[in-house]
Amino acid sequence: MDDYVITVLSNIAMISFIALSAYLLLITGEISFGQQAYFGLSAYAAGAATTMFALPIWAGILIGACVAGFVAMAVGALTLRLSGLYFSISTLAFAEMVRLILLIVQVQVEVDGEMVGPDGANGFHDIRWMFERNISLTEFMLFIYGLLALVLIALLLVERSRLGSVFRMLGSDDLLTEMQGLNTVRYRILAAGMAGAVAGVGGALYAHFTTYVEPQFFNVMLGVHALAYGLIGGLGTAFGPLIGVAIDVGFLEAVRFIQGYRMIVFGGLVAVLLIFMPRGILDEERVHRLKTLFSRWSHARAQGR
Amino acid sequence: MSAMLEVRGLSVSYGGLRAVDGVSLEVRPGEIVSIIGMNGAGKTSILNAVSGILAPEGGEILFEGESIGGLPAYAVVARGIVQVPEGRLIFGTLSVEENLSVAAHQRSGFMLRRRDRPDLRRLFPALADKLDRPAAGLSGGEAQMLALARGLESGPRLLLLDEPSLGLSPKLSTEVFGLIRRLREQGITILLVEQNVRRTLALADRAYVLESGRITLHGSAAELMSDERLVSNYMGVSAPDSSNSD
Repeated sequence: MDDYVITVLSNIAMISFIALSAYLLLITGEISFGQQAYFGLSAYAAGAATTMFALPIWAGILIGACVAGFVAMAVGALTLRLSGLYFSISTLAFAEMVRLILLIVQVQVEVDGEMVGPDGANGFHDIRWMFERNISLTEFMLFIYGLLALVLIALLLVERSRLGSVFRMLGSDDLLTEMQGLNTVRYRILAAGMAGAVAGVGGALYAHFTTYVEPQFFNVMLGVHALAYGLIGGLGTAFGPLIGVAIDVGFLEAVRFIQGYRMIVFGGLVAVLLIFMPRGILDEERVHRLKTLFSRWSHARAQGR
Repeated sequence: MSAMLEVRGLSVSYGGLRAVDGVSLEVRPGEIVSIIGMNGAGKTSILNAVSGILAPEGGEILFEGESIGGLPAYAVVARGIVQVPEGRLIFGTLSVEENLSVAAHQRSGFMLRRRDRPDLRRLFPALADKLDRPAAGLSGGEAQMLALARGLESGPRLLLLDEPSLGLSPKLSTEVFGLIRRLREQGITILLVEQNVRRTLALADRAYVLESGRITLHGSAAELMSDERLVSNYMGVSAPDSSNSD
């Protein structure tokens, strides 16, 4: 595989984390325009861990995800009592605040005669953990997909669990959920923390894949795309947002003749889908039908033997 | 016998309009108590104040001697008071099983699901066979049964029922009233808001008549059955399928 294909495939996987992050909030009924902040915070935190503190990459990812998760919970505790639109606006404001702060943060230390660390508007360069260890792009891509698979399995398990039902209840009727004896604010903060951590894993991987990050990458367009992926792919299962990412980053980027019109095609696609499939391709109803089909099929197979 | 639920001088307002005005009532353990009244009399507001959905403007709400007025709704459920709201409110996109699984949250593990549901099969046989179906596909009667079953999953000691027979066919209404009787036999105390006055009085031990936010009459169901004013005001006009209460 050439490097371009590997880069596209890796991008699909890394963007999938932020798409899953936005999705997790979408199913609880919250629209966040700020998940890129957690992607970015974690990219910086993980980068700092492996460069400035010479920690291994798994520690960097863990630290990045924890930082993103805890900040998301703190922000959630402050903003989740706001209803709908006001919450969305506050997430946008927070994400822009994070981006602007990262533009001025300069904390560099000397490691092996070189200055490393966030360098304000110049970004954060030389996050070279992967290259210092001669890990090839292909190997790192497989590592990214391995982590994506783990996160996806974890989310699918959550969806099957009682916690997943609570999240979906929050998305359909807040008051009725409260009447089931569930502290809705607490569950929303938990969802925000989980979503922040998931975005964080993607951000940490991104920093190490590209070796440098700059605040400009974590602008609101990333967050808006993350939302759109779930809305395109569907809110019925965690596979939905992955389909959305594959359509945008995979298909639209790969098909050259759309190149200049990519945003137009993407925007049109979102608009058309929102009209005809308001909860995406794999919405709850289709997911249920697929599950029924699958269980019938496996039942028939088991009887055939 | 001391009261399980005691409401003293309760007042509730919406935007300056007083919906409940100094209502006092009590429910003793094991009773079925009913609140009877026209649409807009404030019946649902009383239930909502008890279950923590509405903040009372004045008065006291005591459950087993402790004040619960102003507690958040989830905390009221934890005390053992569960409201089954009017209008068969269920989570349509979730399966029947998922609708039920969450309320049981307080009684067992966090991530676990229970597969065997002997109680459900006994009380709601129609639901027990549809656990994997999306709740949105249930019929009106099944949806009401699901709302009731879900309420029971929280292990209530006091069940607040808001118009459980609203919009149901006479046959299904009979089923719902029969179910309420069985729940009482299981030791669940019930505060029932209903439009179907005749059937409610046949089932309840005591009843309160609510008019424009005030209690105008209360007594045992037998006494009220023989009250001429009540009979002419409510039983004559009680429409079994009127659409809304408050």
